[in-house]
Parts: sequence; C-alpha cells; structure tokens
Amino acid sequence: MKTAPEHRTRFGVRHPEWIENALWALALRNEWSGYQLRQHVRPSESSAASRRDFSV
Amino acid sequence: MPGPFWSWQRFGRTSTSLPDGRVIHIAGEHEDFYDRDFCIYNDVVVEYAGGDREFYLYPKDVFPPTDFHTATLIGSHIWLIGSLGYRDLRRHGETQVLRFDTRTLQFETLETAGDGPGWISRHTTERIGENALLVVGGNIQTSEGYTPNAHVFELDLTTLMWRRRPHGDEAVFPVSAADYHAFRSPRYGSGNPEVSLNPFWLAMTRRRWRPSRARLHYGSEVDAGKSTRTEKDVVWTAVREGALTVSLPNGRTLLIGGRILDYGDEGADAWIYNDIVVTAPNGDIHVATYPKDVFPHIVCPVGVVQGQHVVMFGIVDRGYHPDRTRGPAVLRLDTGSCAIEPIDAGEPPLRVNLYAGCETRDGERIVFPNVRQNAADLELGIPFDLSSLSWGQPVPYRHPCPLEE
Repeated sequence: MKTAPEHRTRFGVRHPEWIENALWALALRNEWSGYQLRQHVRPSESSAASRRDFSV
Repeated sequence: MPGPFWSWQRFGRTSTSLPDGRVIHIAGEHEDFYDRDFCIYNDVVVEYAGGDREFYLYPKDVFPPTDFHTATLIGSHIWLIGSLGYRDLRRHGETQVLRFDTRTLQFETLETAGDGPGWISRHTTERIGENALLVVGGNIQTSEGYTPNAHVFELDLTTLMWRRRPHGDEAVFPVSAADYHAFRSPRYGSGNPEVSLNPFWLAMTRRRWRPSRARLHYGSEVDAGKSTRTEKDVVWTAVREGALTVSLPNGRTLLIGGRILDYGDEGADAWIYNDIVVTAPNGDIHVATYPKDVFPHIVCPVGVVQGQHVVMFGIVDRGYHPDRTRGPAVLRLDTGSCAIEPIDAGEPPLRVNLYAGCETRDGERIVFPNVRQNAADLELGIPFDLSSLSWGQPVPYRHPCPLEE
C-alpha cells in the first residue's frame, strides 16, 4: 500500500478509514487553503504534482 | 502520484447537524482545475459538540468525489442527492443518490429509477411527507451542456422511484397558481395600517421560502431587469436581510421592514419592505401594510421599545423617496394597533451611522455612532432623547462592533 504524505489528500482504503492528521486538523482550525498549507509545511515537492490520480 | 494539499476552503460541501450534537461535514471541492490543489473530495469530517473533529476517508468506488450535492437527514441516515464531480466521471442521465449511515459512517449507493433529474448539482432538496424528497432548482449536466433545471422532481424513499411533480402543486405549497399570480408581490397599504391576510404572504411566512424557491415551485420566470422593475415584478418574502425583529411581552413577534439585495440568488426580487409581519403566540400571522409616505422604505432599521411603542430609526432609501432627505427617519410604532406615527425630529447634527448593534441606550437617551469618512475622523455619538423626541449634540462615543444577523 502506498501512503501519501500526510499533508496531501488521498482516498481511503477502508470503509470508512479513520485517520488522525495533525496537519489537516491545523488546516481545518485555520480554514486554510491548499496553498496556505503548502506555505506552512514548505514542501520540496515540485508543483507538477498530479491533480487527479492520487488514489492508493 | 501524490495528491493535492488538503484544504478546508471548499465550495459545495454540506454540513448536517445531528440531534446528538455532531455535525457531519461531507466532501466539497477546492479551487478549479487550473489550481494545483484543485480537488473534489470524498471525505467526511465529524465534528463533535465539544469541538473535536475526526477525519474519515473512503475508497472512491464507495464514495465518489462529490460536490454541490444536498444532504438531508432522515432518522439516522443522511440522503445525498446529486453531485457535480469531475467532468469525465459525470454520468449523464443518472442521478447520484447515496445514503450515509450516521452510526456506522458508511455510505451506500442507491440505484434509483423512474423520471429523475439526471446529473444534477447546485440544487435544493426538501423532505416532503414521511418518505419522499423533493428536488428543485440547480443545474443538470447533459451531453449538450450544463443547463438550469426547470422541473420539480420527487424521489420516493421507499421505492427509490423518481417522478416529476407539476409546477404549482398545492400538495407541496398550499397556494394555487392563480393566487400566486394575484397575490405574489409586495403592495402598499391604503390605511395606517391596512391589515392583509394575503394567502401567498402567509404561506411564504410559514414556510420561510425565499422568492427563488417560490419561482421554482410555480415555474415562474424573472419578469424584469433592475432598471424596469416595479413591485409587480417582485415576489414577496418574509426571509429578509436587515429586518428589525421585536419580541413583545404579549408573545407576539414583529418582523419590521428588511430588504432583498439586488445581487445574489435573490437579486431578481430585490425590494425594500415597508410592512410588518405580525406573528401571534398561537402561530396566527397577519401583515400590516402602509402607504409609503407613512412608512417610508428605510434600511438598517434600529428600534427601541418604549412602553407600548417601538421607536424606529432608519436611513431613508432615496431611490424610493427622491424627495426626502437621508434622515434617519424616526417613526413611532404603536404595537397594539400597528399604527405608525412619523416623528419630526429634524436633522441630526452629524450624519448618523445605523447598523445592527450600533446603538447604546441609557435610560431615555439612545446614542448612535456618527459616520466616519476616514480613520482620522473622531468617533462620536449622536444622542436621541426619547422624552423630547429630539436629537442632541455629539458626545464622545466608542462605536460598537456590528452584530452578526
């Protein structure tokens, strides 16, 4: 099973899959956009990340 | 490949409050295809009464990425109708119907049949009776395009069969199409007040329908543009912005004035109301209407109760009253008879700023903030004396923050 970085969106693998994610919780509290979460984690990934095919 | 960065800034998400205090937030989308964090979500966030939140993810074949759907709570299930979704995953002619179990947090895909809306999104869903949902408005994606839904659809929740309901169906809304056309618009009264039992107004008040909802029900087109609109082109509603609400000691509530803005979903029915919707403790409703010189069209109304009267202040809309000054107009409402008496208080010494929560009452004196053109202008208050019904000279006054409506 591939695991996405914890700041990134992914599909679940169970029905349902409960996850704990401190970064998402922070983004939710602050009502952050994806861009604002990017600014927060300062990732090294290129901007060419897929927009769609991110399923596990 | 890695997905977009997770976002809570979403459109087309639903949030459903449960009787146990939880709020179920379902899916929605962030940004658009050109944004590297564009995503249509298929997740659920469970928010607990204490503020804790839990994240739940789903396989996409169990819960497809979904946005601009509706969520209707029935018992322990949330019925999800429609979705816009990713362009290449839209199934023309089908309607996405999912049922979410609030106990297990699991989704179930439901196969429906009959005369359904097709691939619908941005619509409204209402429960009708015990076992049916009514779907109105929104847009339908077909192979030809994304076009407004002009029909009313009902889904029977026991048989999962769709059927169309006729426009103006009195089993849905208890006013005939003929009465809608006869009674649908705002009217000025000829007395002070003229009490109206307009059946359309009363039903609109009870159902809390906005004008757009009534138009969808009756299949009624927008009648005129802004520049040519008169009251005859407007659909009346009791769901208004900036209305003054007064709860009286005898249990009656008064909804005074208010407006519909000329933009947004209800922009076709923009109006400034000069009437009062009176609701008795037993639920009886009547509407007090007035000539516009007795109750001018005012915005940002502020009211203070003084014995059996409400003294009202409001900025006069000069579009309706080009011959009057901005004011504020000062009016005294007798809460027993609903008669309105204009108070000739003259012009205040400074321009008064009115907004919800702007005033402070100190006995018989009410202080209103002044209009500040820029940050260098002093924060001042303009007092109004309820005994003499006159404006006083400006005083230092810390301007209150506006209240949220």
